[in-house]
Amino acid sequence: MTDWQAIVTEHGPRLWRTAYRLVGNEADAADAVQETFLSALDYSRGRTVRDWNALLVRLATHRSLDLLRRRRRSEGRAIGLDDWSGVAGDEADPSHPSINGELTDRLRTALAHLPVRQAEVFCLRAVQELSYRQIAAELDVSLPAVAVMLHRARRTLRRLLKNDVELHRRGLTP
Amino acid sequence: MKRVPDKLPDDLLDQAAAHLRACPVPEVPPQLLAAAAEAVLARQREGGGTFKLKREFPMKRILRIAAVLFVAAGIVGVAGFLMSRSATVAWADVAKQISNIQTLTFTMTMQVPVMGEMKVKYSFMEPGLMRQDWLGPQPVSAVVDMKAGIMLNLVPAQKLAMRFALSGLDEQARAKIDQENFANKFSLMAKEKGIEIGHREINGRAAKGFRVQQGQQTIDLWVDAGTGQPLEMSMDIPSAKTSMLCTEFRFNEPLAASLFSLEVPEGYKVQDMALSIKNPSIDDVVKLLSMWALVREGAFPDSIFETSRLLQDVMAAAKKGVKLPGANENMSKQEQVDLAQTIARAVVIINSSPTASYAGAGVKLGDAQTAIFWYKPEGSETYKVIYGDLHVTDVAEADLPAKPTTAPGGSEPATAPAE
Repeated sequence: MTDWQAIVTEHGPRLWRTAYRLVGNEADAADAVQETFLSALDYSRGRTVRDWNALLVRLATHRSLDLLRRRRRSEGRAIGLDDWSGVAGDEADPSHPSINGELTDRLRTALAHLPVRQAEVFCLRAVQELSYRQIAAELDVSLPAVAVMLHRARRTLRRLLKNDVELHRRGLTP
Repeated sequence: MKRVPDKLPDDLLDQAAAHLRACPVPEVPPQLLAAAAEAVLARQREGGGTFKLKREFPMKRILRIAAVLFVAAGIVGVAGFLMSRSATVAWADVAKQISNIQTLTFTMTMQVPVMGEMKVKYSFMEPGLMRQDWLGPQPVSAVVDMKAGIMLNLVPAQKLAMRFALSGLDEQARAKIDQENFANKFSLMAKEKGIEIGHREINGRAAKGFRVQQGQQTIDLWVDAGTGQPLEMSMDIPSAKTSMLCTEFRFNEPLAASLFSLEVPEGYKVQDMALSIKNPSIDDVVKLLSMWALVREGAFPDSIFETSRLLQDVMAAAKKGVKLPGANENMSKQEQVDLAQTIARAVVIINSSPTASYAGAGVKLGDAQTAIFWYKPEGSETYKVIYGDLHVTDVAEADLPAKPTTAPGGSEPATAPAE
């Protein structure tokens, strides 16, 4: 019998950090953590989980990217309360140097444009710093496939950031 | 135009990833882990093998709605939101102590489903100054100057200041709300009688307790046995699985004027907004009651005079996945302001109209035969009456429904007392 209380206690803080870094605000991070544990429960039914940490980090990354994509889709539709209530703000922490905050926000936006698997591979490698082997095992793909997806992800992100920088320098983005 | 070097984006990508890894992360909210564990265990008990996710902890939505209610609460005055105007707890010896309150501070700790413990510090100073500080991982402060008609909300984590210019609050309503403030509420309590519940020690002081049972709500007040000064007040709302505990009462101690300053701290981004609660109407009360009943799965609340319970009901409903009508994740800023204004206007009628009566306890949404709320608009010959299906009719005073004399499970009137 899985001790979910212990799993939540042990892995919750790391998943929180994982999700918060990717989504950039507490409200979305909380949603992602919650959904991660529920996904893990569904996933674990009828099978043995050998590495809870890897599974949960992968699921948290997936959920967080999903939220980024949802946020991207809703962009322009409405202005959320976030921008004035501060209760669940999307803004970067003002204690960050603004350039760092902008850069991380632009990377988050760019990640939302990537194909799901590529974004996952990039995050697991570049943010979670998992090895190629760990990523391959967790995503159930071959090592070369990981390398290819990472290469494509980096190429696309590089292009998106480059365009972003160009537009930013020309004063065409916020 | 200078071309961006080809190498820069690659470096930029690595820099961005490094910044993301180094991004400061706040402490995980303890209530989140508790809620996550609870949700998983509940799902496990339910069984089933689908991989479909159900959002059982929609914190973002809860916080958005809570923020709207928070704004609405500020507009009409914190006190009117917190205390039932029919709350009656008596202890004659206390009357002298609280008859001339100039300043008051206390801390309220709430145990709320889903959200866990919420702690708020309240400060009041005559004339008409109020401040509330929501403590915890996302502290928020609000300063309200009712006389000036200004509310300032401060969000330190984002260095954000929201300044609301309140308009449309006529003098009578303003005076009424001022009269309803927490300090005056204590004075009103002094005129009433409660049931003595015994003695105990609180922080080394001998305390005497009084109890009022109002509907399903139990209010216990503990006062210093020697001086009569309030030491502790607790309220249990079993239907909402919520409890509140007020402690650390300080009466008539000097408070720094800076505590109620409406100046925006340096470095804060300012957002100015105009909120009007001009011409509150029965439609606003209809919307509030509709919203309230729907989050309670079709049942009207036992009382509407403690509007803070709407917030608790919203949170409890969110856990069950019930959505608050008129509020959603993609609400525009204007929609949120409109919702806050609607709630605020309704609360103005409920709390400031001397003829307002409520009889919705135990009534289900859709009941076209039962009157649940009525009041007489200023200058009107007749009353506006709202029924359980939310239709409104004009009724002469002689034809008004009889006021209920008891609330379910309690012995106190469910309606507000006659003024």
